[in-house]
Amino acid sequence: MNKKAKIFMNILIVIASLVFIISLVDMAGSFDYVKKQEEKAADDSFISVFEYKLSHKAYNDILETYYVKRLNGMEAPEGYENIWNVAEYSHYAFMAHIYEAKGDKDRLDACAAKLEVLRNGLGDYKTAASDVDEAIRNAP
Amino acid sequence: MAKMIICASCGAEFDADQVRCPYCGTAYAPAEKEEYDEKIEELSKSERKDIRSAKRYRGLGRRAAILIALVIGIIVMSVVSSYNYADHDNEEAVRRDSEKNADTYATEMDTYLERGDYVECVSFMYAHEIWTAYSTEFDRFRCVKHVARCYYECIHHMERIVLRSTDGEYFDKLDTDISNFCMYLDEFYEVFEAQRESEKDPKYLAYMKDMEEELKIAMKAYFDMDDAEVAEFLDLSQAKKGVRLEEVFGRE
Repeated sequence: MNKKAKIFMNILIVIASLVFIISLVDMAGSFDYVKKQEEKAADDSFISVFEYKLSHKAYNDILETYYVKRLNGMEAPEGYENIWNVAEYSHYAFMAHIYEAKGDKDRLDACAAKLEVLRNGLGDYKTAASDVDEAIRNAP
Repeated sequence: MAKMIICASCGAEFDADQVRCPYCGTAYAPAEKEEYDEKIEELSKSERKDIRSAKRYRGLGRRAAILIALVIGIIVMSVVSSYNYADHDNEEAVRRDSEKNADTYATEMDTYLERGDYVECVSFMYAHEIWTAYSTEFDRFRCVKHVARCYYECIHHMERIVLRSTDGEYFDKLDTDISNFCMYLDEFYEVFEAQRESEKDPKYLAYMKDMEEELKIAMKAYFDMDDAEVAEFLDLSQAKKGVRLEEVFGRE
């Protein structure tokens, strides 16, 4: 009986050891995951990247960041306020041109009001609004 | 003549009847066993039982202790892992929130649709994981949401095309954007044709038609096309659409 119990305990210890190792690997992976998330957030929030895109008038890539971040929330994450404002302005300016062509006065007025608010909130990035307006005017 | 034993420790020779080596004191194993048996004989029956039981179960306690330590370790590591993953991946929490507030969120989606803010509506659905929510409150959007998602992708890629950098030093992804736009445009029409057959609510059907109209207007406004050219463009294959757009944007 005692021999059987010891064999059974040994089997349990072997199984538990295997689970222990798997858990250890999983836990190590979870720390890597946290580290990567932090690095990714740090990379994305580098204002210099935004400045670089802005200096090349790459509003498409600024909008891309906005669309990606919006998958997780409707509000601008911390540090993304400027990117958010410029991207929102770009999007609504793009839509306003469609509403104008469509002759939808209600939506155009709503869009214009929103653009006005966004433009006033751009601060140091007001030139971005002019760039976007120009790009839309000159399309294609 | 008595049997002689050579001591394993000092090499001295001594009588096998002796328990220990008379020179160095090392115990002689068979003698030790006899010594043990003699001691056991001297003990009471219950004491003997206790000793034998302790001998029999010696090692089980140690095994149990190892097992408990391993189980505790596994639990602790699982908790740490769950915490690390859960802290950053809150999709499930967002989905639960959507299930809980399904009524409010469905009303909010209706507001976006009424305003014609279809892109905002889709963003809202993504942000609240409504695509995978099970609440019946969202059932009424089952057709319109697919059309809205394709519309959202078309607008997104049109924005990328129109608002791209014209600076030669900046990495240009115009080809990819055009290709993506053409793919989503074809998908939009496939989904639109399929979903408008299934949509029973005239309100949502009207939104779908409005999205389709807006895409055509957007193509006219941004791709410098008239009605006939848009119709002709839509009839082209995906690859030919791409070539046509590259012509529009002066690539060929």
